[in-house]
Amino acid sequence: MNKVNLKKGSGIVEIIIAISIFTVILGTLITASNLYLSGAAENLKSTKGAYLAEEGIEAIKIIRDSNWSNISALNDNVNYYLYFDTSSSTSNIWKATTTTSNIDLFVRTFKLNPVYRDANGRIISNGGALDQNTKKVTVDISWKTKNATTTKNLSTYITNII
Amino acid sequence: MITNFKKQNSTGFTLVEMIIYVTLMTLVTIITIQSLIVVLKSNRNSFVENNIRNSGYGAMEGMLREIRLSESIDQVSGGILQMKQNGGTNIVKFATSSNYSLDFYEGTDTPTLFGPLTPKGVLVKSLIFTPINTGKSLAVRIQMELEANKEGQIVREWFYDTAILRGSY
Repeated sequence: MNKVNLKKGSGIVEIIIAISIFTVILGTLITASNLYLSGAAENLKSTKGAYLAEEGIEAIKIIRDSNWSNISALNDNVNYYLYFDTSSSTSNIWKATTTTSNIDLFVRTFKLNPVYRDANGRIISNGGALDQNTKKVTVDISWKTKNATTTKNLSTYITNII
Repeated sequence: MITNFKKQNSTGFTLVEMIIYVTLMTLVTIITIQSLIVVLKSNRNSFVENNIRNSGYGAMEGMLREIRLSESIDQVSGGILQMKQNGGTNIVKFATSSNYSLDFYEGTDTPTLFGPLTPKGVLVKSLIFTPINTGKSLAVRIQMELEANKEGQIVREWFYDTAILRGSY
């Protein structure tokens, strides 16, 4: 009995337990820190995405400015892509297309929706009369993150300013 | 005597025990150092990305604001954009400098250097202004590539936007 009591050093089991606890704690800390850091990395993409969405809205206004018929020729509720046409000899211009055109790892689409107004000219979601000279524009931006796809959208109304 | 010797020996560590402990210790140390390296690397990466994001935001907002306030385009060629504001009395200009910063110029007749829009350490690798004329309005498309680096960790990112000169309608 005395012999057993003399062994004061830690046994292999204790060491293994200590190491396991240490490893678990270390692992948790690293996972937490990585999660925080990847969140910070997402910041850059979301800033870039916000500018792309803003560009989408401006591009549609440019399409509208060059001729309202460019807008009225598009189908409602159909996703279109935007591309920058530099082929024209007079001026570069934004154009709508159904051909996929991605920007880096971002996908940008827009769609138009009809606008209805009541007797007082206010925009209403149900009923009312169709306003041929106004459209609701929604620009969608999506990009792939580590595990999922992030989507952002911007929307506004455009009118035929002639 | 023999039993006494054996008893004394059993209080210490055997060679096998020592080997196991040292091996475990080494393994733990390796894991710790490896994860430390990973954390430090991603920390550096996040610092650089944050730097790019902030500079990109600052530079883009600065340019977009001035474009929207402008009425006409004086000059667009690659990385130089000069526009007129306030009935032609104010001239603003953006250009990249030889040390890769984005400089802002402003003045009544000849625009003078106001200062850089990008901080030191962030380089404007490319800056392309493209004019757009719809017949009713003018617009400028911006494509800008920024580069930042910290201890060998290089991050590059493109920013794109288009803005209509609100004064051109």
